[in-house]
Amino acid sequence: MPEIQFREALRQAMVEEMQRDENVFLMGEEVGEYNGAYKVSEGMLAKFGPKRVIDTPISEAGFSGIGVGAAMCGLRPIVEFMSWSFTWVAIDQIVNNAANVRYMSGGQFKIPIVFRGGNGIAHQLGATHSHRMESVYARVPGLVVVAPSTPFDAKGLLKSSIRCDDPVIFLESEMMLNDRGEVPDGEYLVPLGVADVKRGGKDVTIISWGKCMKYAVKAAAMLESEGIDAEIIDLRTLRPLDVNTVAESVRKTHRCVVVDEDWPYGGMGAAVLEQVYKHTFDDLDAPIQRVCCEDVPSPYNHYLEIQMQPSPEKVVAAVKEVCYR
Amino acid sequence: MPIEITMPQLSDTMTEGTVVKWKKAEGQAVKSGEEIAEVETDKATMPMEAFDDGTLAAILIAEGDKVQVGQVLAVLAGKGEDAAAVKKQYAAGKGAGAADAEPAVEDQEAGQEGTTSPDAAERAAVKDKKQPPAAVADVAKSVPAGGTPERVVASPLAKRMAADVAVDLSQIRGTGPGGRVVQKDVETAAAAKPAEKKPETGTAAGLAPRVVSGQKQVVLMTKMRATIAQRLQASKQSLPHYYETLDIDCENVLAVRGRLNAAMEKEGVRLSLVDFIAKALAVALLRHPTVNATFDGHQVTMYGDVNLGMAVALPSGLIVPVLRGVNQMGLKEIRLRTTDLIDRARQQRLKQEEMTGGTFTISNLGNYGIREFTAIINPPEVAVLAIAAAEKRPVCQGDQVVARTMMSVTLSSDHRVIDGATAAEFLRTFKSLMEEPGMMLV
Amino acid sequence: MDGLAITLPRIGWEGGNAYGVGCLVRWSDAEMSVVDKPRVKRPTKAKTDQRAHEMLRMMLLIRRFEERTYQEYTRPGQRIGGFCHLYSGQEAVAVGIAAVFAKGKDYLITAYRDHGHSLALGMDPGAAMAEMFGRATGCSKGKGGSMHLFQAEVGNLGGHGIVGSQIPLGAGAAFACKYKNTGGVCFTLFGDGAINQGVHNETLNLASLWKLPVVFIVENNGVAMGTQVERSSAEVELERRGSGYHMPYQAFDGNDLDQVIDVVGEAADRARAGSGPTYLVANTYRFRGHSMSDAMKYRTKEELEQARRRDPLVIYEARLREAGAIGDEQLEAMDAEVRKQVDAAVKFAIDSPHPDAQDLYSDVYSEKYPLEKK
Repeated sequence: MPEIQFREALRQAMVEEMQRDENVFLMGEEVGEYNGAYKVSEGMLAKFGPKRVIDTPISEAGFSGIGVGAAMCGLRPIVEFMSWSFTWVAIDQIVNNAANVRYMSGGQFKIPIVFRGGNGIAHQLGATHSHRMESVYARVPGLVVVAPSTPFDAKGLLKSSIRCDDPVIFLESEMMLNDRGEVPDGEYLVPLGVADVKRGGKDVTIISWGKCMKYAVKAAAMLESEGIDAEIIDLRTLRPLDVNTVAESVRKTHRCVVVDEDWPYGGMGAAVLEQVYKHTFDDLDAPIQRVCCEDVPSPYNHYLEIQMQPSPEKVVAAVKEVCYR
Repeated sequence: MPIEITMPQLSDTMTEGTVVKWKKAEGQAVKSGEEIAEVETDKATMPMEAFDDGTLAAILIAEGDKVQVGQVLAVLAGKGEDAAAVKKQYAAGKGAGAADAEPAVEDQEAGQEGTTSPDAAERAAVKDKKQPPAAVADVAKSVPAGGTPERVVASPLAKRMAADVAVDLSQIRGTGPGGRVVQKDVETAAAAKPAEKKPETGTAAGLAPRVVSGQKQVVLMTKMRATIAQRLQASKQSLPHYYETLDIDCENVLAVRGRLNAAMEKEGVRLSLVDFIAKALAVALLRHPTVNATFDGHQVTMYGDVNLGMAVALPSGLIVPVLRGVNQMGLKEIRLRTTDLIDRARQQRLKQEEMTGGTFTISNLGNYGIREFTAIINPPEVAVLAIAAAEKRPVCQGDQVVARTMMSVTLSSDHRVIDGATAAEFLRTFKSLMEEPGMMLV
Repeated sequence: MDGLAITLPRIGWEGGNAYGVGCLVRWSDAEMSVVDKPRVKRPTKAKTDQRAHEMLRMMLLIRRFEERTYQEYTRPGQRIGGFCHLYSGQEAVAVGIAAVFAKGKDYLITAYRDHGHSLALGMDPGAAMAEMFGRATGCSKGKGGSMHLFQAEVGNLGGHGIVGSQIPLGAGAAFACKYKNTGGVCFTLFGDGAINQGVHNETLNLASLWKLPVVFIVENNGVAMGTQVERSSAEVELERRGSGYHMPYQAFDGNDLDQVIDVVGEAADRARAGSGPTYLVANTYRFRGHSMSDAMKYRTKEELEQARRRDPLVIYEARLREAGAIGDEQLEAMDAEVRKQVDAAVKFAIDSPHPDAQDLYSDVYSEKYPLEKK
């Protein structure tokens, strides 16, 4: 199987879907002439022309809203955000319009739109450019929230997202775009709303998604040398959450650690954790631990930034705590 | 100056430890680095080493006792010191300043224990059984006074497991943070239970505990006891019980049993009367399906198999293991499976599915010589058979009074489902099978 | 409620004003002359008398519908809840747009004062009233309410509750028309309050940059909630807020149905021809408060007096009368018919069931999850 970069997997998904359905188009800042701020859409303008690969001015609210309006009228836009951090100014469009219009019109409209871009902390971008937006959007009924961790999942999930008739929040990470992974030639899909057991184990369930899966995987290797056999679940879709897969695992291991880079209070991991408690309380042998960011804005300084974030070591410590080791 | 050996902190989370075993006796010489005792921490049992040379002058903490980190466990007499004098000094309670500074109650009692009368030791032992571990007691302190049950801190899984294997959580020492009882603690307790409960005959320790004259003892209901109380009360109050008693002549069945046991002697199988009862019931119940049934208040479910519940008395309460599919078993299998089931019931190692799904229950007090009694139905079942002792009784045969081995059984039935005549017919079938075991083949 | 007394309409034919209270701020002398000295010879934009009657009738229906909505809202044991914004006084804008609206390819989107536009585009008054009553038969199954009336099959992209939020959606609909080359346009309406929102700037720029077939129409009723234009916009000539985007902008008399048809029609033609968006300001007047709880203390008696003479229904009726296109008898019959229609709508709403408890969970998503679409 060929190994390709995460960004190539995303591009393949968009290209294939745009070839499949002419109502699919891409718009966003620097997606066209510049070939993508992070080179995700490299070559797409040349392939599809300016009608379908559209450079926008820096108007996140404006072009998000245009995307939603276009989706209401039969198109299937892919809206790229250079960073999900910039969507604080577009939230009204995403929440009140993309998510609510279907419900408040009594189901008269469907909104097949994908919003995608880099989410979370990258590297020394400071407080404004390091937001983790999953908890902001995963709270909202009407939205689907997806966060892949591998090139394989990225391609399969993005294709499913583009075919989905509901608005999808697709969370990537600048820190993952260079990651390489096996992606088969030819058509395949990864279903939305299905978590993936990335590593089987019996002693503890580590739940994570997106970039933080890296920490989970490293931690599991470190734990293995200490005789702790960790199961890793990649949620992949944060909304709707695949509670069954999670609960099944925790019922087996009796211990659970949630790893994410959101803030501790009201963060995404807290919501996941609440669901785990709800479904597995009587099976738990220890309180669920959460490894997440410190409760501060993202600092600029490299060392402080590292300190603020989760790490494999922090995951190992949390796992030992729930294993009473 | 005497050297005090204190409870070491063997891990960063350890707050207290138990002296499992002293490896040295009083009067023996001890070298630095030599193991003098085994200490159980919150994580493991570990060797405790002496840090100095000397003679073990006095052991202040008995094996099995739990003390706080830093508390004095024993005293070494240093070079040139008189071990006997040191022992005397500590026995009189005049330890070094460090020991005096420890005001904990346990400390005082522990101090007494090594030196005072066996009475005190016994009281301490009784106290141990009643008291939850120290950390749990901390939590209990926050419960307002006035008889509120103490809250046992346990993980949800540990609570569920403890209920499954009928282990009393309050009797388990939690090793989790804050004394939380966790999965492995329950597993350990369940495994250790039978050994713990083994009666020590011939010693004072084997005697039944006694409430001290002039005093009274209040025992809180264990969770298991409370469950039994609630279930039995609900059954007796809400099910319209009625009772029918019948005497069964056991001469024939005992004769058959004798022959079969002789034949199977080499195999080491010894059938008991209750195996025949189980077999006869399996046949009778399938012939009278209304009795082999459950009732949920709306519908009666009758079964094509007989899952026979057998009430077993444990020190902690009553449990009912279920022998599934008795109708498919021969007498030998019944015997072997019953033995296994009851053994494991006593060890509290039954699986959940071995305690549920019964279609009929028997309660056997024959071993106690009980002549006749009634049992309470185990819902959703609709009947229970109380089996009394098989004993020689004078019986009229025609005009003759002869001695026969007789056994009285009493069927308790739920009148909502089983009418008196139905119950009587069932009993008559059962009686005929018991009195002529060959009829079971018919 | 005392404060509201001043706003009660005078329903009926007395006093020379058939339609209730109206007034206007900042009309030009020329605009006032439409009423003061109607140009007898000026033809209506309607090609036939029948078409003219239909438009007058629609304006009248909207007026009666809104007056009845007010009554139902304020009736003890209130059956209409939430926020409710009435369109009385602005009818000519919606009816004028509907006159140039190409059903099947055009779209209209507006803010929360959306009853008039929905009726003008053909929504059944029963479905609209039932929606306000929260009934399952409402156009949005009782899940939208007064502010969120939608009718997908006629291109009614809805009423939207957040001020200005719908402006980019309108441009998005226009984007779809252009992308699919349908020849459709999107009439994107918003109030004078919305022009101060950020997306107003963003969308105007994007729409012009991409030459989207959109007609932006500011319904300037003079008051953003309770704040007059002078106190909310540094530039009081609101059409100039459309400058700087390289598109035509223009203000016009939004109370004159013929002018609305003229000006909006022309802008729509531009859009259809691929020349991009137009920014229009329809000067009009809101007879009612911003919403039901608005005592309108910000208005003077003089202002109301002036507005009464500028009522769009009065203007159009006068024009038809002068053209000999309508008479008392027809008008009376028309009013009776409209009142009956509104009565029926209310009865329909009252008789309709509330949504099932199960409906709470429907229409959140289009899809079932897990989702895998081959």
